[in-house]
Amino acid sequence: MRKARWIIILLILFVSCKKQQEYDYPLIFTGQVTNITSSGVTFSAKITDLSKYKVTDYGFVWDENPNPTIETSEKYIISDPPKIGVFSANITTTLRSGVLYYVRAFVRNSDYITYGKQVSFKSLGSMAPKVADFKPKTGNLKDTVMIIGHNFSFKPTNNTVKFGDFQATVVKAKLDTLWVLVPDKLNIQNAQVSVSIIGNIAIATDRYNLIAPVVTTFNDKIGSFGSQITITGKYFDANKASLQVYFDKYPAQIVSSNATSIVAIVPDSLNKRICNINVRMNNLIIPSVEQFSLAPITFTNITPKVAITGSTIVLTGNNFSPVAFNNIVTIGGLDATVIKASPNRIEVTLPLQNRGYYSSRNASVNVNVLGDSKDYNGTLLINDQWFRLKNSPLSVIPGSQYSYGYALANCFIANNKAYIGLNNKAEFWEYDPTNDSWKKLTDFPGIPRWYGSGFVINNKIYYGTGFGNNHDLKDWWEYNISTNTWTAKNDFAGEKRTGAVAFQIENIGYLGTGFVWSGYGTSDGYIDFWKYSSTDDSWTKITNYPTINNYFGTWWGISVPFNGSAYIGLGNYTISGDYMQRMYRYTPSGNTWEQIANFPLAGVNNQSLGFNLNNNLYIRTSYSKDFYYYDAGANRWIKVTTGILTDVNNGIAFAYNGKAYVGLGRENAMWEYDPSR
Amino acid sequence: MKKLIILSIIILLVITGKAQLINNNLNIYVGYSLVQPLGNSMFHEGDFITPALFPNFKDAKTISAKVLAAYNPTFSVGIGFNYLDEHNWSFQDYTDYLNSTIRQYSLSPTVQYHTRFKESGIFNHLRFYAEFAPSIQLAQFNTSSTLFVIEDKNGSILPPKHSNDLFFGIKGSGGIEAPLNQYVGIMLSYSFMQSYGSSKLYNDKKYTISQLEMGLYFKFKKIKRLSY
Repeated sequence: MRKARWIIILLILFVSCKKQQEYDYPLIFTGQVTNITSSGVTFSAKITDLSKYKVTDYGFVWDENPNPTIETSEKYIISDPPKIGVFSANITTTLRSGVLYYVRAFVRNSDYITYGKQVSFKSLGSMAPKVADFKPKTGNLKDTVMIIGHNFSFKPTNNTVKFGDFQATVVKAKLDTLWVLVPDKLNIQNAQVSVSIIGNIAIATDRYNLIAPVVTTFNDKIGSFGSQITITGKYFDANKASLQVYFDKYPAQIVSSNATSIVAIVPDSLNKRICNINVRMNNLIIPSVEQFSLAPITFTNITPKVAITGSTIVLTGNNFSPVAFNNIVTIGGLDATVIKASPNRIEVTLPLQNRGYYSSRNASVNVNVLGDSKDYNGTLLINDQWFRLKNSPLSVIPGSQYSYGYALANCFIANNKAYIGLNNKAEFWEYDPTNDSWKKLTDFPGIPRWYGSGFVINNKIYYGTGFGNNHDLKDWWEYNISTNTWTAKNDFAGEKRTGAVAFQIENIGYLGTGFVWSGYGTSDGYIDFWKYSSTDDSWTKITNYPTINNYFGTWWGISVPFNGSAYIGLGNYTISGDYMQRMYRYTPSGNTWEQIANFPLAGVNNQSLGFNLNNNLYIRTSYSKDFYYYDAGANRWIKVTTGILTDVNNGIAFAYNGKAYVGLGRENAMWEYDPSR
Repeated sequence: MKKLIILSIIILLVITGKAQLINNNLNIYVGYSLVQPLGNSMFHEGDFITPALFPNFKDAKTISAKVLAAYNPTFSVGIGFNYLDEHNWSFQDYTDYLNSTIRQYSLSPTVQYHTRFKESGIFNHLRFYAEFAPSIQLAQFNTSSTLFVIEDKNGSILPPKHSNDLFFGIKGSGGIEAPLNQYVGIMLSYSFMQSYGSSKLYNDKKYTISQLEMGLYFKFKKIKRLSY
């Protein structure tokens, strides 16, 4: 008995000397993966210690990458209360066939998370998700919808949920429930709801219905920009954040709204006279059955009534568009630039004349606002000194469509009209400046030529010399204005030549200078001068043109008849110096040449333009933009700022009835100069 | 082979010894065993399957000491102490308990039923016995494997790598004792033990071993009484 007592005491001491250790963290073992089939797998684990602190959750994490974690990997959380011992889970979702996965069991308390050892397995696949139901079935964009089913992924981003073609954000996920937000881009009223996980798709039987507004009617049917319109209907308050009103496609400001009415302002940007009113909510656009119309415009006044191009005028009226470019203002046929606009006032800039020509100095003014067009009851007087007339009908010189296509025409004044043409073509026109009209005349029958020369005697035009058919010419022709016929005359008595100057004084014609173009570069220019008698069709030589050493002549010079004499000069020379600036006055009574002040511009001054306007001589060379007029009393040239906005180099110029006319050159534009404005 | 030859010689010496041996009441035993862990290499508990710890040790040995006192001519009672050392864990490609060891200390009250001592004949020189010994064991587990990954807010922390766990078992043995002289003898036994317990660091709830033990025993408290 004594022996047995000692044995028991020893046993008790042995037992009591060691207790199992307690830990702050829980402990868990991951079991081998079993039941690997095409439907999924079974995970198992064993908790051997729950720790001193409360376990918050436990389960499994798995991933295609080693060492899966609860933060980044797929997971399954056990819903039963944690206890020491074995647990398992059948995983039927998110596993792809043929893929090697890594799984760890985990258990977590407030301070620690413990993962069991990692176990790997090759998956044979898993089941597709199933959608049993979702709710609510009707709602708005960004509403939360709960989808109930099976085989969802715990990881929200592994569930692809779509409403129609639009992906929804999954905010929370469990194996059998998903919480998603209706995508804010969804724009169909009845959308299919689907859930897709690793390519397996499940589609809900029902469809999700977006709440759409109902538009019944609106008042008023006719309104102005900025006026308020009341729209009547239903469900306008279902999703106020997405409620918008459009007139056609232009957004309107909403003043107020409730479930059955919206008050909106007709937008300034509206650019259709008649349109539907569209109410948009939840990306659904519902148009009104009836159409809205803008009130018609009225156009009452323009200020000022006399203006020059480039300046600003103000149009007043009602129901103009507040958006400048929705008002089209046409002045004399040209579109004016609208600077500013409001419903009853439009400011416009008169277009410059390089954009086109006005139909008349007394220009009509028209306002067109979105198809409603009104003319001003009156005209605007365009008061520029230089006023562009309508384009000439002359055709382009063959082969010169992209450069100076209308250059080098001849221009003769007779019968209160101008006779223009003959620039390397047979075309010949009559221009009437009093009514800005053109008439086609009989074609020139001679060889078409450059730089022919001529003059007018007794209502007939005499014309010849020049360069045509690769030859310098000396033929001579008469055009009878009355009969519109051409007659060949005796040839010019001097040498063949090109670029001679010609003019008439008191029914006598004069022709001289020029050069032989066939040998361009070898001729020094002619100095001889001749007068022509139309009575007997004969030529008489007169005093030579004053030159250097009585040898070097000029060509492409200018001549302007002036009160019984003529001004001749400029042109081109083969020698350098100020010769190309020289001007002379020829007086037929003394057969004398008198040099006047040099033209102020140096350089090659050929193919210049000039006219006698109100007993003032105006000249402009090819390369100057401005005319200069000759102050005979002071013997000097004074620059005149010229408002010609087209390139009239090598064009024509003449004066008539107190106005000058300049035109052609690069374009077929014509200009009138009225110094009295 | 060498061991078998030595054993055979000893048995022969014992059997052919002519001197009469005296009975005694107290024996002290010391022994060394070769241990064979038994059981399924994989631990199963429901769906949970994982490599087991104890059955997969490849090296296991014990050293034992025991004291038995005669209760009557056929029963002796006493207590035994065992030290078990297991190491070299391996099982297929699993690494769960690589570099793990078990050192176990056990205390076993023992009841032995043995043949009656005879003044002459074979039972004067040999004793056959069977023993029954419940035991309490303290298992010290050590490992350098990482059994868990534990993280707190700051990152990973070291997981536990050793534990001391209690096991309770039953051991049954059968053997033979042969005195060499009046003071010492040799013994040979085969035993089978099954123990039950648990640990937080491994899943085995029982372990089973068989062991072949050889040792010496020392005779005390001889009965010096003439019988005639």
